[in-house]
Amino acid sequence: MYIIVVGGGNVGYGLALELQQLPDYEVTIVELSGSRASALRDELGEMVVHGDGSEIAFLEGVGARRAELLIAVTADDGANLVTAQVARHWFKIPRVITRVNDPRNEALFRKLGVDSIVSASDAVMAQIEATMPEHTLVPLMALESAGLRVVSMRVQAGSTAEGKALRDLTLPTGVLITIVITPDGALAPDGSTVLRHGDEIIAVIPREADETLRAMVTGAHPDDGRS
Amino acid sequence: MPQSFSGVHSILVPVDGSEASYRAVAVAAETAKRAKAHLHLIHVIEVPRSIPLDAPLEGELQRGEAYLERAEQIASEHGVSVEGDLVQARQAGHAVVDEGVERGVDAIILGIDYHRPFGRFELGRLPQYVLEHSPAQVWLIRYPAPDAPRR
Amino acid sequence: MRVVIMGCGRVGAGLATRLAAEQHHVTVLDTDAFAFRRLLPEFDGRRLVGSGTDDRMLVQAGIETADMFVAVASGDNRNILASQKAQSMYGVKVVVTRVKDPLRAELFGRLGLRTFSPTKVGIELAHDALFAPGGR
Repeated sequence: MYIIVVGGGNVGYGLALELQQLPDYEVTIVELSGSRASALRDELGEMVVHGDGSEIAFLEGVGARRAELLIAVTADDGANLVTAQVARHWFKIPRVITRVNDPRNEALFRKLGVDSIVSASDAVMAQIEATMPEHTLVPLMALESAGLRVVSMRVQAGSTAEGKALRDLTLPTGVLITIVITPDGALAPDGSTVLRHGDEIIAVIPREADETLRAMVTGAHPDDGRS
Repeated sequence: MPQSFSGVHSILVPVDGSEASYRAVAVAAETAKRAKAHLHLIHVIEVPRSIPLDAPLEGELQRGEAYLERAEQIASEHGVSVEGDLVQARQAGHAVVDEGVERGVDAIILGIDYHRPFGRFELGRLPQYVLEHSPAQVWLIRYPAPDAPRR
Repeated sequence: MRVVIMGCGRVGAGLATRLAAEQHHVTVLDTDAFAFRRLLPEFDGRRLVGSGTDDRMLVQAGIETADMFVAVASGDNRNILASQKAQSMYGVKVVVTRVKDPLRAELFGRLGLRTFSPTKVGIELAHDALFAPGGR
C-alpha cells in the first residue's frame, strides 16, 4: 500500500516513524520547507521529498495516481483543505485523511466532504490502522507513560458485545471507546450506541485490558489463540 | 603499499555505465588486490515515485546487467573476481550509502566526470550525497576531461 | 451589490476602487495595513486589517450579507480556503477566486468556484502578442 503524507511537521514526522515500521507500506513524505526536508531526510532517508503537496503537477510526480491513502497534516489549513480536495477529486485517491488546525474550520472541511478530520498523530494512526481489515486487534501506539494504548477491533458475530448498547456492556476498567465506525460512517458513541457485527471500534485502553476487551468484542478467548 | 590502504578490507564501487565509473572499478580492483580486500559493485536503477519501487523495468535491468558485466570484466583483468548487484531505489546516492553500511565497507570509490554544465565545475548529485552521508572513506577518481584545455 | 474583497494588492485595490466608483458597497481585507496605500483617494469603501481565512474577520467584513466575494490575496490555498468558506458556510452567491496554478484553477472551477488563473491568461496573452500581425 502506497501512502503519501503531506506535511513534515511533528505530526507528519510522528506518522512517518510509525508507518515506517509497518510491513508492506511504502510512504512518501512531502515537506514544503527545504531546510526542514533535508533535516527529515537525514533521519528518515529517501522517503522524504521537498515540494508543495498542494500542487497537482508535483503530486503527480510523487505517484499520487497509485496512492491508496493521502494524509494532509501541514500546519496550514488552506494547504490541507486544498491538498485533500486535489487528492480526492483530481487523483481519486480512495482514502484521504486531513488535519484541521483551527477548530473553526472543521465545519467547512466536513461540508466539503473531506474524509476525516483529526488533530493529533495518534488519532490519525488509529484511522489508518482501522483500514487494515486483516487485523482484529492492532496495538497502535503505546501511550507508554500512562500505560495506555489505542486499539482498533472489529465486532464479530456471536461475540458478547454484538447487538448490545455500550451502557449494557461491562467494559474493563479504564476502557474508553472513542470512535465507532459503522457502514454509515464514523460516530462518537454514547451509552445508547449499539455495536453491530462488522462495526469497527477504536478505543483507548489500559494495556492489561487488551485480552479481556478482545474477548468481548471478537469472541476470541484469551487462552485459546488457535481457534 | 601505502599505509592508507591498510585499513581497507572492503570496497564498494557504484557503476553507472560512464567511463569514469569503469576507471573507478580499475582503481578499486587494483587496491583490492594489494590490500587483499573484498570488492563489491552495484548499479542503482532510480525508480520514479510514480511507479512502485519493485516495478519490473526490463530495459533498465538489461542495461544495468550490461554495465555490471563490463565492470566485472575490468575487475577480472586486474585479477579480482567479483559479482555486481542491481538495486532499485528512489535515489542513487541514498542506495549507495545504504549498501555500503549494510555490507560494512570501509571505502566507497567513485569515478566522477569532469563536468561543467554552466561553466562552473559541478560534482553531481550522487558524489555530493555520498560524500556528505557515507560513514566509510570516500575516494573520488577524476581523470582530466578528454578535451580539457591544457595550461 | 455588497462585495467583500480579500487581498489589497494591485488587483484587489484596483478592483475595489472600480467597484466603489460603480456605487457598490465594498469592504477590502488585507493582513497588512500598508497594502491599503494602493487604494485611490476616492475609494469610499471599508478597509479592514485581518485575514480572509479567519471567520471573525469575514463576519466583521459583512460576509453574512455579502452578495459577492473576491479572493485575490497572494496564496492560492488561502484564496481557495476563504472562497469555499464564503460559498459553503456563508452562502455567498458569487465567489471569484484567483488561483495562480492553472491546474488547481481548473479543478476548483469544476468544484464550483469561479476561478481564474493569471498564469494561464498571461501565457495566452503573451502567445497571442507574439503572433499578432504588424510586427516590425
